Order: sequence, then structure tokens, then C-alpha cells
Amino acid sequence: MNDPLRADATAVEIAAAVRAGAVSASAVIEAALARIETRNPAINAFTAVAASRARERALRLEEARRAGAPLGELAGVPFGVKAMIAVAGVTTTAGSALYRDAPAATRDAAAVRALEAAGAVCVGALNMDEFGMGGTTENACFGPTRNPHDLARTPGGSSGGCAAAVAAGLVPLAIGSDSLGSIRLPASLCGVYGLRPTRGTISDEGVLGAGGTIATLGPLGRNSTDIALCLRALSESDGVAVLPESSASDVAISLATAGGYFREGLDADAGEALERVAGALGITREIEFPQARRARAAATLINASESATGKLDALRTRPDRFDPATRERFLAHALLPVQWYLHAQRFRRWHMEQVKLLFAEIDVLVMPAAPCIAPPIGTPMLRIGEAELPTGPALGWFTQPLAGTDCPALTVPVARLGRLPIGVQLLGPPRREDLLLRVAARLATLGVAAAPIAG
Amino acid sequence: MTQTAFDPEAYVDAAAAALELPIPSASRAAVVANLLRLNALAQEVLAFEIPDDGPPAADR
Repeated sequence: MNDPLRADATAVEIAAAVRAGAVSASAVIEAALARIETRNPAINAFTAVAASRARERALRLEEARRAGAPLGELAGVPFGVKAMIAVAGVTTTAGSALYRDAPAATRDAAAVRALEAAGAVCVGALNMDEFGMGGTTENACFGPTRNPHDLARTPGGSSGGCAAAVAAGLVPLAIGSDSLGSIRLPASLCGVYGLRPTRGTISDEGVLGAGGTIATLGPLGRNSTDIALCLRALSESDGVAVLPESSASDVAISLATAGGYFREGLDADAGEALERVAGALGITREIEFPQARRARAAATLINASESATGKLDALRTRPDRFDPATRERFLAHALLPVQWYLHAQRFRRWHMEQVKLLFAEIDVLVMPAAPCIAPPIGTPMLRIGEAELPTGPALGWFTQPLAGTDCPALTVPVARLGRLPIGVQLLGPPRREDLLLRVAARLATLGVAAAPIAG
Repeated sequence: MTQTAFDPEAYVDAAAAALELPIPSASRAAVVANLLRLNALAQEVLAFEIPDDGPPAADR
């Protein structure tokens, strides 16, 4: 077994060692805090480190162990949360100057409570695009997060701090949130696993800006078993019976790649990653994901309309406090005609039924997660096929069409020794995260998927 | 993309007035550009005739 104090220790290894008493929870947490202190200044993934809280929690785990109490599946596993998720003692900022000086949260979000009930230890809050509105984690108030694989490049966003922290080995697990791709995209650009679970699986209580119909929380990690354990712990917070199995079992899973939209606009890296995965899994079938362009348009409209909720007062009275990268977007979103939104929701309901039909034919659909590797920080526009798009929406080209479906989607990082990361995306039917995690485990066994520590 | 009569400048003025949401002059051009981009997406969705999207007859 790997040394549980090393940066590349998995959540499973850490929890096993802590439960067995081979290492103390305090030693694990001190090692994580030391890594954050050493490496975070260059990466800027954590915007707040909850050191004393984490140390206290580790001591309580040690007391529990001495008393013979069960420690939980994630005993002593350090994790971070996107800065919109409440952590008692830490100010919940959602990456915004509007909340930077707000009082600290007095209560943990349900997701934090659930992971800590399983023995995990929250060590701090992670950077994001302001209110999740962006795909590069270039935050004017808290500074840009840098991709640990190449500090000149973006980690993607909006859960860029989560992906960067996990990729750099600061923590083995993080909780992000995904609306149009905010978990799946940074997971691809940072070379880690990132799961957008079935909507409704994880409680969004205690999440600043929650309440939309597209967003969901979800885990990021460096292997599929850690993701499965994290999901199981998070799901229990709502009493949802999702029990993913991560073993590379022999259960027959029928697979197909997505054609059309998902075969266009990929660069050489993204195309090669997709071919390697399809080849390794022996996929010969290609099917159409229905109405991809319109699904992308509808999800984008819904997300834009909902993103302005609750911000009218701040937009009226303190527009200068918004991030320059998002101010005009929120102003525009506040003005959107409600009939655009309602029609997009009607389309979405119809589309979901079409996607369900697709899953009567196959189990898992394999598609690109991002059109390219991480671009340099400050890249204003990217080309997707013939279209020139702002970098954020361009990077989300392949994640956005799935956002309205409620289906689980998992980014799997493709092994690329010495080259910058890129992932593929697996899509499955609602509540079948287990299928995605099985395929991911098979890819790791085949040596096609890997999430090595950056730097 | 279908050309529509959508006039983002006039729309911003009307909608901002209705919401009592002042648009800072420095932000106006970018707000208009954002609305144009979103209008293109909206037209893409609106152009699609959704087959049979009502609830089952028994529920009507």
C-alpha cells in the first residue's frame, strides 16, 4: 500500500490506514496542510484554509478510534470544497467580492456534513469563477487559479480550484458544482476524474446561489473508487440509494461513441484521446445524441436566466463589486425575456425523453469532455470548427449539451505521459453512476486512464 | 442562423427600465453583445417545434 502521507495517496488508502491505526488522522491532515502551504501560493487553488477546524476534527477522529467507535469509509481523508459551499468558520464567497467580507458561515453545508459524517476532514475552500459564471477560474478578486500541470495555463472552470487542488495532490477529493460543465471541464483540463451525478442525488442545502434547475454538486478525485466512495457518502445525506460499484467487473456494458456534433470541433489531442478510449473499449457503434446544438442552446439559456436570480439588488446598487469578467453577463442575464427561458425548459423536457430512448439501446455513451487541452490564462477566444467563441463557452462545447438532461456524466482523464491532460466524458442513464464508474475502472486497468500528480 | 428583428439596444433600454436596473454606460456595449449572443441561442431553441409537449389528455 502507498504511504498514506504522500501526495498521491488515494482516499481509500488513507482511510484504511487511519482506521487500522497505521497512521493518525492528525498526521494525514498535517501532511495535507503542509502541501497546501508549500504549493498553493503558485497554484492559488485554495482561497481559504480551515487549518484549526481540520486539526480539531482530526483529533476527534483519533479520540473516536481510541474509544473503538467506527470511523467511516473516508476516515481522515482531507477534502476541499468549492467556495460557494458553506464551511462553518469560513466565509462563503462564491468567488465574489460581494461576499468577501461577509461573516463566516455558522453551519456546514449538507454536503460537508455528509462527508465529515463518513470521517472525511474539510481543509478549506477552493477558487472558482465568480458565482460559477465562467470556464477558466480567472477571478479578479481572488486571483486566477493556475493549472498545476503548466502554471501559465487555466485549470478550466468554474470548479477550477477543485480540479487544480486534486491534480496537484493537495487533497485527494474535492466537491465542486456543475451547471454547464463546471466539474467535467476542469477535470479534463487538469487530468482528474470529475462526476456530475444525477441531479437530485446530492443536497444543495448550504450552497450560495443554489436553487437553479441545472446545477448539481459532485466529486472530483484521482481514481474511480475514491469518486464512488465520495458519491456514496454524499448521497446518503439525502437518503438516496445510489450505490456505485467501482470494481472493473465483467458485467457487460454496451457502449457507443456519439457522432455528429461530438465528432466536430475537436482538435488533435481531443480526437486522439477519444480514439484511444474507443479503441481500448472495443467500441464499434456510433450513435447520435439528439439535437445537441439545441440542447446546448437551451441549457445555456436556462442557466443564464437562473444565474441572475437574487442578484438584482446587487446589480442595481453595487455593480462595481462584481467581477469585470461576469458583471455584464449578469446584467444581460437579468434582462432575459421569460418566454425564452420557458421555451428552453419545454425543449429540455422533450429532449430528456429523447435521451432516455437512447439509453434503451445502449448503457454508456462516450464523448469528448473538452475540445482541446488547457489554453493559456488570458486567452480571450477559441475556435470551434468555424465558430470563434469566448474561451469559457468554447471550452464547454461538449459538456453544455448534456447539462439539461439530469443524466450522470463522468470525465475520465486519459493517460498521456509527459503531455498536458485531456479527458473523455461518459454519459449514462439517470441513477446509473455505477455504469460510468465501472467503465472508468476498466479504462484505468487497461492503462488508458490515469490521473498522475502534477509537478 | 435566422435573422430576426431583435434590436438589442432598444430591448436593453426597455427591459432595464421595466426592472429599474440601471446599466452603467461602461457596461452597455458588453451587455448588448451578451444579449445578441443569447438571442442567437434563443432563436435556435424557438425555431424548434416541440412535438406533442402537453401532458397526457387525461390530465388536461
